[in-house]
Amino acid sequence: MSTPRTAGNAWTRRFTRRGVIRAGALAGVGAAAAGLVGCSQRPSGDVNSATSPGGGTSGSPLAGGTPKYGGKWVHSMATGNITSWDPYKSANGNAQYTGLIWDLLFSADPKTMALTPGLVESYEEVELGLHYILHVRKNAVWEDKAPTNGRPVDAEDVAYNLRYASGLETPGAAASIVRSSTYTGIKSARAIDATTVELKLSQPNAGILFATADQRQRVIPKEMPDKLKFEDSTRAPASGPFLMKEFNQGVGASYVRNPKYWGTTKNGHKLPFLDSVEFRAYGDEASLVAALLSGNIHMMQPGNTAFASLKAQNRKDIATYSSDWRYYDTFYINGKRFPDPRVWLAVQRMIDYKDLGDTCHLGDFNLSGPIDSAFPEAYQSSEIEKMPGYNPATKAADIQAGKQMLAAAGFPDGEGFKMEWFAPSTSTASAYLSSITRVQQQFKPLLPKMNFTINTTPNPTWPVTRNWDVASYTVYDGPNVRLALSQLQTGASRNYGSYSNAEVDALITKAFATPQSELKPLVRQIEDILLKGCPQLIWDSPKLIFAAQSKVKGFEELFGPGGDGSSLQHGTAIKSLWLADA
Amino acid sequence: MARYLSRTLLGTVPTLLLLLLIVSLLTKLVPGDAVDSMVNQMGGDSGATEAQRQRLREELGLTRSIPEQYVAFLRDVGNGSLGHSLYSSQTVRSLISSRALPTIELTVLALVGSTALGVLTGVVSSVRRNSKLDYLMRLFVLIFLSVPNFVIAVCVVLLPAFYWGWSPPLQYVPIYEGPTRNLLFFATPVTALAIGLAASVARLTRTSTLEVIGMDYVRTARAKGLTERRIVYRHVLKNSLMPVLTLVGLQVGFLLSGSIIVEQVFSIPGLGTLLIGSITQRDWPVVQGLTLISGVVVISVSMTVELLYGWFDPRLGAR
Repeated sequence: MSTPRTAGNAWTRRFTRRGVIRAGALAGVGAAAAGLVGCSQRPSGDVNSATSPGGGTSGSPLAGGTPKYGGKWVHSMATGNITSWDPYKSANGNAQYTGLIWDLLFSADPKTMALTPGLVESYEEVELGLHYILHVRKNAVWEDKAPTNGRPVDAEDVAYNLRYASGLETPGAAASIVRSSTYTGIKSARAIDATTVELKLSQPNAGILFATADQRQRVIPKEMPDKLKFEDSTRAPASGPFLMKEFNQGVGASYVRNPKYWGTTKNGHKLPFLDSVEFRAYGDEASLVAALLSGNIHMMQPGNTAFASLKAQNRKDIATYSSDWRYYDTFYINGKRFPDPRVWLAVQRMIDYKDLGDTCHLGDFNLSGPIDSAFPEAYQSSEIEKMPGYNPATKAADIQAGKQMLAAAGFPDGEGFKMEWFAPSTSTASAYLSSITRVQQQFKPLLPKMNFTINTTPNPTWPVTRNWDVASYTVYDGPNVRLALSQLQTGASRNYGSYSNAEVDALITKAFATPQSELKPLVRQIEDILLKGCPQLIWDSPKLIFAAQSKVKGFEELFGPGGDGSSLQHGTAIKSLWLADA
Repeated sequence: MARYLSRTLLGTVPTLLLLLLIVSLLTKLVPGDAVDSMVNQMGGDSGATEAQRQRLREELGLTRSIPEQYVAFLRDVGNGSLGHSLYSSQTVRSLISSRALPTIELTVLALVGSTALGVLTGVVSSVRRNSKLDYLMRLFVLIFLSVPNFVIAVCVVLLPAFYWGWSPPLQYVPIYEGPTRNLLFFATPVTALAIGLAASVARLTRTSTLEVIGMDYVRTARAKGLTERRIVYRHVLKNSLMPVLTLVGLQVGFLLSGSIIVEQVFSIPGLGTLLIGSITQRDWPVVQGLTLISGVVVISVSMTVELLYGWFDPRLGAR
């Protein structure tokens, strides 16, 4: 026989006094716990402690105004282990952090990409591309700690960095110096006196000074790495806007303002505006978005979907931005496996670029031709979209032309045409995979007999082994079109499609000896050749999208293909930003 | 007991050796190695020639044969270092030591919390069988059994932020820097990790308790006039927890793997994030070391569970 407690149903059971009291106590404990947790949502130095001045709405740049000094900027820390603090040996891994403590020799104007002074205050061009005299800034100093002990940044520092970045300083380890190819031709870099450097090249490289304006090319003290190993970053003396106080890989980092920093804005305001910067590690995008929305970080670069969602929310406390920048999406057809230019052209003609950009970047992109349209010398988007393959109005005809080219190449209706498209990232949210998937969807009805497969097996060796048919990738260039052109030279390390054209090679060599003001016709001549067939299919220049708290000011100065995207990513831009509630 | 323990310990050695051998072989099947990953981190096209890469591989010991590498690893296990990270040259032991505390805290809290919540829920549900409370509890059990912990983790982090501008604490604070902030930080990830396990425990506890409640000796206890509370907690619970104990022991392995994703979502600098980073970078000595540690943990928990059987049921202990 069952007991009354376990028999029957709840409707026949009365509430007991004990039960009500117990329930109330439990509810009270739960509410107290929720309150405790709620009070803990904001760490010390809460970034959202003041109400927003209400400036800025989603999708529009924030108003400027007089910058305010003070406050702590909180940024998300990139995931992934940093294996070296050496800026010349890292692609991007440490740039976010080194950009705050070390400066560049030159930088590029965000709007025009013109060379602007950094640690080099001025220069003389003795012979274009071959001989330069650099004048080092006199008011830049190193941090007052060993081994620099507060001394000025001098000519020997600059000369050392030029030699180091080009591989001259460490010939045995030259292969580990990333981007050394952009310093091609340096024969010698020597200090003539305390503030003057003579730079000589053995072959013309008119882009050499622009190579130093790459956001990742940070100037290190000449004592590194001999007296100071790169393993302990907090010992590294700074000359930049901030001093590093603490760094815990994968956890966080903290910086304070450098009171002796030389930098000012164009209006003469001393930089930086912020008192301190803190990095916090967040494991994934969901956490980042939550941290931004709850006021725990000031800015983030969301993925397309998260960006669209934030934009649609139209919140007063969050502003969204999209800006042109020097970064482009590319399909590299393996020229060794598909040497027939008709195949390259057929693929180029048949892709629907507008659909691709709208799908993968939700409309936040600029059409680009064989050379990134972000460069003023290259064909601009408005010109590209009138060209075969890119023009939506002629898409049907282009598709037919593409099919005919494939048939002429031996693949009628795509029969026998087998292509495996490789996406370096397996994340379903990644632009690489989404773009390839979209192209597959486009090609299926057009070439039903084509064998179009997608390979997402992680392979970190893909740029070197090149064991793929087509690879999807995004490329970031230094702030000069010559650097973009150099990728297409025969045998160039980033010539992933193995393109080779003697005429293009000669024109690119000529570009390195041509003044900047005379480059445009030369670049366009090269593009005209590439438009006749090139395995490197740049299909767009996506805009930099990011979301920030509305109280963050100063972004407008950074917008443009010359700087903001990379500088935000690499931490440099933080020196120019200020908080409206500081 | 001592003989039983020593026999069991001896039996774990071949298990661990086999586990390590399997992991060593599997890592060799993955495309790319640490050198390729390093070069790729430097930009993939740093210009390193194949000869330079090969020299680096020789320096790192990657050109040795698989048996040689396996024997070298066993030697490192013997001397306690567990090998050296190919990236940082730190010993694997020091790397694991520096990242172990958050994971230990997360899994212990999740295990304790899920067991306590699951047992309590199961007992209450069984005692209040067919009541509204029972139905409600079973509904929640079903929901949390069905929803993966990473979905719960992301929802808990993202949804409140979207709708109310609130997020749980996402900055790890070590316990020695602030016990209260540490516990508050872990409240959400522990909940995300533990709730699924609690649901399993609750379901099994309910079933097991119902089975025991229907036994003759329980009816006799009632006839003797004992209170329901005394009957349940003194006579029923101990006998109904045997299968639960087995489940909890088995779930430790799932907790360790589940903690990897939770650590990612909540930015906990523990062994899970270390494992993901090491796999991505092909830092196999670290992966092997972590595999060894997790194997030891799982085996230790299994042994502990077996010992606890004896406490719960003296008949098994005597045997």
